[in-house]
Order: sequence, then structure tokens, then C-alpha cells
Amino acid sequence: MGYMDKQASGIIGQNILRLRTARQISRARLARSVQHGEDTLESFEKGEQVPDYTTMVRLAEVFDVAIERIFDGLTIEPSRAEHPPTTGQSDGARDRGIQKDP
Amino acid sequence: MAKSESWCAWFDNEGKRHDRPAPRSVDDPALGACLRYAGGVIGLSGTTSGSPPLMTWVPDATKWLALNAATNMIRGDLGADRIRLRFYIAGWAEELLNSEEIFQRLDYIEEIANRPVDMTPRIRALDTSPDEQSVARSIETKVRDNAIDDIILYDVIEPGRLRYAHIGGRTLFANVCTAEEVSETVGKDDLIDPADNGFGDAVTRAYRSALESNRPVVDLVTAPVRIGGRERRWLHYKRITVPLLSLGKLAVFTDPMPSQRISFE
Repeated sequence: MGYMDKQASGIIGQNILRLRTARQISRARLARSVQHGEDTLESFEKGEQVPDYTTMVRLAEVFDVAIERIFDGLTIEPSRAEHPPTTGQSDGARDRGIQKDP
Repeated sequence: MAKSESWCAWFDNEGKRHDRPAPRSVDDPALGACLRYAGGVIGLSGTTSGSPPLMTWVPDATKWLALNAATNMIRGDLGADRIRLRFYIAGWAEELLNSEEIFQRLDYIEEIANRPVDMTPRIRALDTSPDEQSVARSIETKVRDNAIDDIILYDVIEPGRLRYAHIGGRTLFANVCTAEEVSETVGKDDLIDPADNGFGDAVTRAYRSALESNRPVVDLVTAPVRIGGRERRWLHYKRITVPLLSLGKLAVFTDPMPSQRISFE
């Protein structure tokens, strides 16, 4: 979960808010459905907290969408500048690190 | 023979299977973000008639319990004899494998994903004069003579599918990684264009072009490289990609040009 930055949690929160309001579900009702308090759900929607995966599964079930819709607008590397992905390539016979050749 | 059952499941990092709807597309960026967040493997089968089952995962985030559960499901329960792997290492890669070679390949992918070499997933490539036939012929001769210490070779498994066969010890990248230092620093961060294609696409663009045209492709590359958490350095070099279809190979020769500055204007 460490790769989530503030911007990413904000986008997730906006998606939760958008999905909830599009379905005209109250925050109180959704909070009950996903077994959290209303305050916690509000913090999800504001991007102050990121829901754990179990909660995301529940949210997706309530919204009747695939779970990745909660990640709409994000890519696999939202915090690339801070956490660049690790890579390397070799012929398998060497034990030193060799980058994928560009 | 694979059964034709259609299913999609997420195998969590504890190896537990959760059936789920098929994704809109395996290229969906949100799906990658979701996998990096949650880990696990998404297994997908039967979306297209005759298409082998697909396993999608992010090595940084996925545990072996998930890989084992997905693989055993696909090989054992589905009886698939071929499997597609889709995984993220700086860019998305996809491979088609026979099921008996799957665990060996998963080991290899995990190994390269965890190597302590970082590369910012952006490169720039410019086409230049295509008239490099004489150089291409000399590269072909080197490959035939097995004098390939300064060449990277791929096996062409089938159109659009390559596999590393050899990385010469005197290639630019072998040297960079061994020396842990890049002698010349050029470029600035603002040369990175956020609208640029992903690293994987950029890396393989010349390869695809060479194989499709069966002609050498010459391009100039500037690549930002970060080694061992150090400050990012820029490499730039000329790359010659030579298709050797009669040998079932693709050869790549890189020629460092430390004094050359490449304009993107």
C-alpha cells in the first residue's frame, strides 16, 4: 500500500464519491454497507485515508462495478518520481544487474 | 487440451481465489493501479475462442502464494497447455509460454524484477539516417561467427514475441551496470515529456519496426538511468537494431556517443 501518495488517495476518494452520488446512495447507507463509520467514509471520499482492500471489494459490490473502477484515473506508477520502478534484464547466465536495454 | 470454460478471478497474496468480472481490457490503466495496490494475480480465461489463459501481475506487489495459486488453477484445473503472462517491470510485457516452462519463467521474472537497478521509464528515440546497411552486415557476420561480446541478441520466438538470448559483456548497459557510474551527464528533467509513451513501448518500437520491415533500424536514444538509488544520469547513444530472421534472432548494437547532444526541438 506504500505506493499510494496524496494525489492517488485523492483520486480514489473522488471515484468513491462519484460512484456513490451517481447511484444516489447516502453516505450513511454506504458506510453501513461497507461496515465503517460515516466519518471514515467521508475521509475516504476526501482522500484523507485510503480504504483497505476488503473495503474496496465491498464498495465495488455495492456500486456493482469491477474493483478497478475505484482506481480510474490512476496508472500503475502514480508516484514514479519518488519511487521509480525497479527493472533489470540479463541473459540469465550472469549474476550482475543488467538493465533492460532501451 | 484446455477446457473452454470462461472465468476471471483474482488470486490474493495469500493464494485465495476470488471470482470477479472480466476487466474491460487488460490494458486498462486502472487495472494496473489496482494490482499494484492490492497485489495478487488476475487470471483470465476463455474471453476469446482458443486464446490461452492470461495471468496478470505486478512483481513488486505480488507474492508467490498468489502466483502459485493462479498457476496451479490454470495448469491443473483448466488443463491449459499454454499460458500468457502479462507483468509489469518498468513497462508492461507479455509472453506466451508452454505450461511446463511456467515456473522457471516466473522465477526468472521475479529475479529480474528485484535487481537493484532502477530506470526511470522514459526514453526518447529519434529516427536518423537509415543507411546503415554496411554496419548491419558486419553485425550479421559477428553473430554468425559468434563474436557477440558487444551485441545484445534476442530470440524471435514468433512475430511480436522476443526473448533475451544473450547480453554481451561489452555492451553499453553491461558496462554501465558493472561500473555503477555514467561518465557523462546530459539533459535535464524537463526533457521528460509526460505525454511520452511508456518505457516498454519505447524500448520495443525499433524492434517491432525492424522485424516488420526486415530492415535495420537506426535510432538515437536518450535514456535517464538511475543506479542504486543515486542521482539520475542520462545516457545517449546510437542504437542499431538488425533483424536476422534467417537465424531467428534480432541483434541490437549500441554505440555510446558521450559528446553528442540530442535536440528534441
